[in-house]
Amino acid sequence: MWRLILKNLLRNKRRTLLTTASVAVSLFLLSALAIVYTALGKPFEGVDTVPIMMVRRAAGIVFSLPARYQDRLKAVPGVVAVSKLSWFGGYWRDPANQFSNFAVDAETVFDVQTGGVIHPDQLAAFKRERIAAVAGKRLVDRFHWKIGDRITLLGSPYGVTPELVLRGIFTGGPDDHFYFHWDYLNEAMGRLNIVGMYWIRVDPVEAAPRVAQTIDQMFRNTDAETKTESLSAFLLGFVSMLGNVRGIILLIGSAVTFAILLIVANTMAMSVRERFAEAAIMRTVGFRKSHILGIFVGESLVLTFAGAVVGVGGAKILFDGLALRQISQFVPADMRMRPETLLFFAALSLGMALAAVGWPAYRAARLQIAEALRHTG
Amino acid sequence: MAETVVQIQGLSKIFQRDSFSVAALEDIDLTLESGEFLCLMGPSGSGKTTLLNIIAGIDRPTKGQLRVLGEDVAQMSEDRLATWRNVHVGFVFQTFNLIPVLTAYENVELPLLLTKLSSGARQEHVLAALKLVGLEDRIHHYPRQLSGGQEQRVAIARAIVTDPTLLMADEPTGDLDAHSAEEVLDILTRLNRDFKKTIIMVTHDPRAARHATVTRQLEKGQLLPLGA
Ligand SMILES: Nc1ncnc2c1ncn2[C@@H]1O[C@H](COP(=O)(O)OP(=O)(O)O)[C@@H](O)[C@H]1O
Ligand SMILES: [Mg+2]
Repeated sequence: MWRLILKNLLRNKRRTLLTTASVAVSLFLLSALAIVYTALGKPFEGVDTVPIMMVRRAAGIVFSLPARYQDRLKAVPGVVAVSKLSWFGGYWRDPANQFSNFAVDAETVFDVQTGGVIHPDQLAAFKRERIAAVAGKRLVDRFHWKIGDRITLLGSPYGVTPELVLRGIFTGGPDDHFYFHWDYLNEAMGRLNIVGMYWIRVDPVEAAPRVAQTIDQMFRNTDAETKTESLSAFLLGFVSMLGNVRGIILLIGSAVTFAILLIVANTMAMSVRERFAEAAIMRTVGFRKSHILGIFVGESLVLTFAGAVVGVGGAKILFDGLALRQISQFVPADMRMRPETLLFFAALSLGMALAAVGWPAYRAARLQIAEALRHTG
Repeated sequence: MAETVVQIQGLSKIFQRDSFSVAALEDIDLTLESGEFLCLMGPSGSGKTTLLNIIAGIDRPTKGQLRVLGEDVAQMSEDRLATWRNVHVGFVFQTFNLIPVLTAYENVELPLLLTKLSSGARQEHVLAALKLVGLEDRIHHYPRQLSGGQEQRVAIARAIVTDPTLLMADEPTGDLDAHSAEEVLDILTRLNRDFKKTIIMVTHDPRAARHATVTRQLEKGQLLPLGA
């Protein structure tokens, strides 16, 4: 029976090849979309919406600010707490262990970041020791850390490898974050006295727009102009934008799926239609309806799965090879193909193969033999 | 000791097409004994194919009695009929109706794929059948690499490879030149004479009729009396 299926697929080699190639290309695209889609879905769990504001270089997020701005920011009416915050970008032990790590002002970071709750003793320990670090609960669980663990951050673009000791664990807030002393980083980097950005806490919340204006005004025409924006709004805006992106991806994905379905369905419909008479002959010599159905379904399955193996397999090799770990500086995301995704594509291919061939195969199996034979010759 | 292979009484077939209906067969009575070679003749549209199809269970009568090899074919389910045909009936069509992607060998083997035979046993049967039709040197040819006459002989080999009791041929020489037609008729005659196959052949070629043991005429769906 399998030989019959293969022989039939080879009957029109070009058509089989073109169809398989189309399926492969489409499924490759779909795989890429699926990877981005799932990656975008993950990073924002636990984002908190406390009114924190972020002061960064107006020129862009990659530029730094002078460390001496801290006192001036603190002096702005409405600002109740300020912390330096330098994105560090290290990993723990293995490049696969990516997470958000920042060099912060240990004295003030939890005055700003009130969403994260930490035991006062642990906070005190963090402040006391230059090499101390604290991490969010989720991150700690992920790496099975415990207090007292020595943690060395590798691979940072700053080219330094801080050797730290975990002194505290906070819950709530951005609980996948990791904080260590900005002073320590600054020293290790030879006292450049620069900061990625500042986080400020504003009270009352309504003062936020005025505070932002005051700060940006204050530094206008310096060589490090600032841009102050609400961190939560920033993240929320980003999240909702990503939400739109996911929606669009879903839309494109559906369109691509539909296109593949049409391609396979068209090929199978042609192939089946050409062979109504053959199906009748086979029935005449003793094949049952289920045999005929099986042969056509088998052809569709082979066609679709051959394309799927090439397309999805290619995407898996490519993306796993690239091993992209983040979408942007603040949005870590694992851009590898997950087992669920592979499973999804297996199911999708099966579904498409069946949907594509279902109707014509059913008709071919059901046809009146006498009728079909009459229309040949 | 001859047993009855086909027994038909009062058989009619009416094709219903939208508003009007065509009576393709009307009140047919026919008996065929084992070992006979029946030649069905008649003008185009007289119902020959329809009768053949009904006997083989690929079409159903509207009314009447029909027993083939002791079975009430009209009442059998389609899947049982398929198996029954596989074992008992061989079919040869006017258009040779081979599967184009299969070689001569594979085309002949097709009905055997449904049996429990081992591939060795299948090979034995296939080669014997192809030898019987004189094509043992063409087994790996594809249908398009064969002449019309050769194709029809492959079709005959396919029809007899399961060693059926009853062989049906619907205008088997209709698309063939005189020489090829003669070859095909010779094979059918040999199958009837030497292998005791019961054969029903439809044709409107008077020369073909010479090979038959009985000839019956159909006209406008009615079977004319013997000798008419
Ligand atoms: N499926 C069908 N629907 C309607 N009419 C049919 C059908 N099959 C055959 N007929 C009609 O039945 C009659 C007998 O057809 P057929 O048995 O093919 O004749 P023959 O084989 O002797 O040429 C013809 O008039 C034909 O048009
Ligand atoms: Mg006919």
